[in-house]
Amino acid sequence: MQQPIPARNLVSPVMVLFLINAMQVGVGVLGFPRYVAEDMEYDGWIAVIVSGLITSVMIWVIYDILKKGNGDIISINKELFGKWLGHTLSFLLLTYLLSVTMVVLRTFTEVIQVWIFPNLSTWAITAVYCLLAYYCIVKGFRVVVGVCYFGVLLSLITYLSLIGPIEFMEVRALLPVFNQPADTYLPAIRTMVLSYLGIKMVFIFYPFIKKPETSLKWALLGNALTIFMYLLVSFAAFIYFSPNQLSATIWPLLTMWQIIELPFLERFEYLAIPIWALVILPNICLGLWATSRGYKLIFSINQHQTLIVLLLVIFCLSIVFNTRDLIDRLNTIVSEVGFYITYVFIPILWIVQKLRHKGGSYETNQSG
Amino acid sequence: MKRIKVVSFLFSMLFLMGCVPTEVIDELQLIHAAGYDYIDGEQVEATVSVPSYKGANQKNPGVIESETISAIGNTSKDIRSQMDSKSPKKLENSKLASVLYSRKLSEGGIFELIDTFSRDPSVGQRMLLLVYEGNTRSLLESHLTIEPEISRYITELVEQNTEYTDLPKTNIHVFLYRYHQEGMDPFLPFLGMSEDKLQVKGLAIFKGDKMVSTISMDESFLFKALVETFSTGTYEIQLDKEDYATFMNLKARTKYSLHYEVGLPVLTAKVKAEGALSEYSGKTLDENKIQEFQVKLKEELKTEIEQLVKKFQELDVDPLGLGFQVKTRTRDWDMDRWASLYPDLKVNVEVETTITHGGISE
Repeated sequence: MQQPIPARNLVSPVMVLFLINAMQVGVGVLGFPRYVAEDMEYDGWIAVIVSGLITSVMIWVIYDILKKGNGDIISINKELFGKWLGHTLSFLLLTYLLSVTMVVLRTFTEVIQVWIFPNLSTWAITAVYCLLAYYCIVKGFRVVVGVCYFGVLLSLITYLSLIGPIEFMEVRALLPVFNQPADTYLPAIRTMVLSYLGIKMVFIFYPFIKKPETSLKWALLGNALTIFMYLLVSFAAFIYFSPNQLSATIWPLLTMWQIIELPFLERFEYLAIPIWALVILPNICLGLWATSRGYKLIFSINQHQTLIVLLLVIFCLSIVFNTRDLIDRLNTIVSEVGFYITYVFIPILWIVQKLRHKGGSYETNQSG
Repeated sequence: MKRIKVVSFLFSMLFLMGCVPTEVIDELQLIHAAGYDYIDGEQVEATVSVPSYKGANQKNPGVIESETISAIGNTSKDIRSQMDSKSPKKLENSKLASVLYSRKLSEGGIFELIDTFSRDPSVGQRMLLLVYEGNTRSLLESHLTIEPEISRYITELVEQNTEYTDLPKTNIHVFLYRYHQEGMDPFLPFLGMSEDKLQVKGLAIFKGDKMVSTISMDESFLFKALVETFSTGTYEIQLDKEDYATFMNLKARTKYSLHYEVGLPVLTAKVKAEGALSEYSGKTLDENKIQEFQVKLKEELKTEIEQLVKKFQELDVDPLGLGFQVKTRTRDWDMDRWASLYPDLKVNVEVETTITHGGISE
């Protein structure tokens, strides 16, 4: 069994709302309407809702696994699959989480380079992020949660920013609804679930929550908040852009921000992108915190040193991926892997755990 | 010790951040307006207008005048590098407020020229695209007495007319939206010279990215009423020779509905207009007279809207977005089938008018 987490490091169950929401909302929001529209045109908002609901079910499954296993994913994997196989699986999962962090960081770096500082080199941006992340994580999980809290609050500017483009919105464009053939639904939902993948982080931070079993409702609420934001953003994008125009727009949300003119600021995106830089930060902090903690548990090494190594790895890798094409491909691969982890590995884990429970071997394992 | 190391490392990072090339406003040449002219099938001439601050010192802000730089080339990129070679300061797009295309160039198609702007994140989505009947270079080079900076003059002229008179809202976003939307064609404000004043002459109507026709400022009010949810504009009607009235701030909105007659779509446009008489040439303006104007306004709006729709159908262009109206009311809409239906589409126009009051005197 693992060491219990000291009570002063625990956070209250409400914070799960912010953890889940902060992990889901990231660079994806800036671009997802285009991908759903590619699959399902302007009925895409249906996929946004359905995939959000599917994600809610997955959150319930994850909580069920964690409740029975009473620990984090590393101890559960170890119990169910034995030391070697279990640790290998955990290692792969953590590596996936690390690559997600990398992708988020690299994608947002690209946004900064395209929109604000075309001449700023990648390493400078990633270095700042790595230092910030280090500064947060080194002080422990509670600070990371604090970052998530502020990240979520800052992401609320999205709602305000959608008021701006209303002037040019063509609501009729959403009609007629349910106009797409039935076979477009599945690909669209599959595309859309990728935007909700952040939920796997629960596997690591679960033991850090006070009375974790009670936090399920907050996790679901956090997910509901994400659904709501995605829904509004996709509606806005659909009625602001015409279909072919949207498919030529890489970051619809950013392009929508371009139409907003404030009395004291002619170009809103120069305000919004720096704010968004702080919305991205929780993604990176939480990802790095989770992976460094996970590796620490697997290899019984110092978390602080692991963190520094991971930061260096991320820093170097993000410099290697330097073209739009590479970043795109990286994005596709990582989200593909994430899809299979969430919708194949987790259900298998759930079933295996169920079977173990029925066989009664669980109790004997626990003592061993 | 450890803390000092960390702090000094952070500080060094801070200084390294300064390695981005700075862009000081004094050292930039901010483009305020640009114009494109037709040279031949392959080449275009581009002219940009940049402000020059003459005689400015600490006490006196001086006069802002515009200067121009022109270049001829095949593509926007090619032109840009030529312009850079003619400018002592770095040219910047971020304050670009209006882009003019000459009529001749617009008739050949301008999508590629617009597309370069839509790819550039420094260009705002509210940038105006305009069609000018003559040579845009000579317009940008001209000096008007009323406002020495021509680029600002053009932008304000169009903005004023959009906000208070008959011009529908336009900018690069609206153009691209309509260009890419099925069942809709784009339009742009059409400018021209009358005597020595620059004037908004109406709208340039496009088929795809090629300009095909223009409509006058009077028609533009009807146009605005048909495409915008809420629109205000000015409209003048005449009862007899000497008996005419002007409606300022005539508010109009249109609701479309669709039904089928023998398998063919029939579109009904219900226009509601509401406004106050603000100018009247006759002697007394009583209830009867207002009633008379109301009926007259109704008839006139109806026939003129019908004529406008007919005109677009004959030209086979759809700037009103009638196709879009049908598309959003039809399942499994087919663009090709629509294209063959459109010229003979039956459009019913119904007009409802309300005159709220007759000004401050009877």
